[in-house]
Amino acid sequence: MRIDDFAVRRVSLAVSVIGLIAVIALAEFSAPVDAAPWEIDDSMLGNTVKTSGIVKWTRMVKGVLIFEIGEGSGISAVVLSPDERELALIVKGGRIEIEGRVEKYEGNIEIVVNKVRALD
Amino acid sequence: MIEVLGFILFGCFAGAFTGLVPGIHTNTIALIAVSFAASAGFGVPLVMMIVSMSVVHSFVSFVPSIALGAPDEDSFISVLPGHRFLLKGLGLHAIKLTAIGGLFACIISIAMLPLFAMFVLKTVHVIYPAMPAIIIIVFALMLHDEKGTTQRKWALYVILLSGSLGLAGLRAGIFGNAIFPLVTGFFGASTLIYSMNKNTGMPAQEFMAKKYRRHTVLTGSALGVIAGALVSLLPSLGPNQAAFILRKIIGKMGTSQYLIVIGGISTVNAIFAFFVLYLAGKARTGTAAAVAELVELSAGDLMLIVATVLLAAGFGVVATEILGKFTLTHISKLPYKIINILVLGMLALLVAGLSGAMGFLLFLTSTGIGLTALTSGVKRTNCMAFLMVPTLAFYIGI
Repeated sequence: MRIDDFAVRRVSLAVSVIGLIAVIALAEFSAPVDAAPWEIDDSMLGNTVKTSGIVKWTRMVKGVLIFEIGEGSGISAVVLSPDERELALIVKGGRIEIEGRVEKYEGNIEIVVNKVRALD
Repeated sequence: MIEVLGFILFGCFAGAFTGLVPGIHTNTIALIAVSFAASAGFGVPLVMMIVSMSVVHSFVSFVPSIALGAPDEDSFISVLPGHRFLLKGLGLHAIKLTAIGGLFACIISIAMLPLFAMFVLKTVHVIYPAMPAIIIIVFALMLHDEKGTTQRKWALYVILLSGSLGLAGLRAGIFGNAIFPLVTGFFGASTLIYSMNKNTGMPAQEFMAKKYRRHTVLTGSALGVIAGALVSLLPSLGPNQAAFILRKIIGKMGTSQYLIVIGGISTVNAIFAFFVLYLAGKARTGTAAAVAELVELSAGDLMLIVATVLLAAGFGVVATEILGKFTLTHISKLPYKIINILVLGMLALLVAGLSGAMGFLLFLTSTGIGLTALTSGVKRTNCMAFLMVPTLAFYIGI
């Protein structure tokens, strides 16, 4: 059975618009909380935060990029399976902004990063 | 030496595997290699494995993209011209064109390496500030390309929808790696659904060798090298955007030449990433970053990389032809509609498995936008706005 292009266009346009609204709503709903690195503590566990600072050091361990971000006191952050852009941005001395979920690993607070942006 | 050759060969086969299976990226294998090196102590042999894998992947990834309409993140723009060839019974010819582009661009790029070294260091500062203007001009050209007010209106809708989806999907962390579901929806699933509804039949595929015009191959490969060099230098600029921009700048380009160009860009981007790492210390790809983790490249390593690239390019061309012929032979035995349903189901499962429910939402929405473009009769390259708008936002600092 063949459906005419006009009907397909109506359905596909409706799917596009509804889908786009849902994507934007989900993106907004999950908007992170702004916080300085030294402000991130146990009370923020499970929340998505946005913070910025200078990368103090980086280390790659079994495909996971670990680094510390901050000025003065900093906070540990990890990128699981970093992509090419993330690896290019997260370098020692670079000023970046990160977004991610606050989690606890071996008793220490860390950010599991899902978004990185260069500030330089 | 035998050990290094063994690793190179393993990399070639790994590249053929990652190229053939949509959604499996070379970065994944490269990261496994890095973690393996930490315990096993291999350095240079693993680097050569990663290099050969990247090069072979850049060739083979065009097979699923053209034969099945199942693209990956680096080859999706070949779906559109490749599908046209496929429906004329020339799927293998289209696949071979990308392989030829990759091979010649590989040879040219190695010959031009000293020039590239000077070029990268001098031009990068000029190109950066010009990127927003280039992208805006390309948008204007995309709209101008459409015929008549109604078509331009629909093209604008498609650009706005795709751009907004790209901006929201690529920026919000909850969608993870959004590129795979978006690419699959815009360029893969929408094509398959449209073909099913049109009852398009796939004609018998021709496997006879065809002649290639020397001028087309050489100019296409040279353009691929230029665009590939830019991609390897500039973050946020992908092979597909570079091909599109190049097409708009130099004007009309035949479909054959276009396929040669995108084959060239894909391979040159994979190769130059390692040289940019050596020359400028910048890791522009995941595989180059993995290499940076393994060793500090020396001039001697660089010579070995050149040899590995040439070996892998030869393997890539042969593997692409064999796998392309194998795939086309088998799919042409099945009714085209059944193939489309099977591939569509496979794509949906891959998206759900690799990107989860959020990725699936992006996949559904981008499929809807891709179908809107197809049923409105406007060019589907307008969907490229999903990458161009976030890139524009990145360069203007929004």
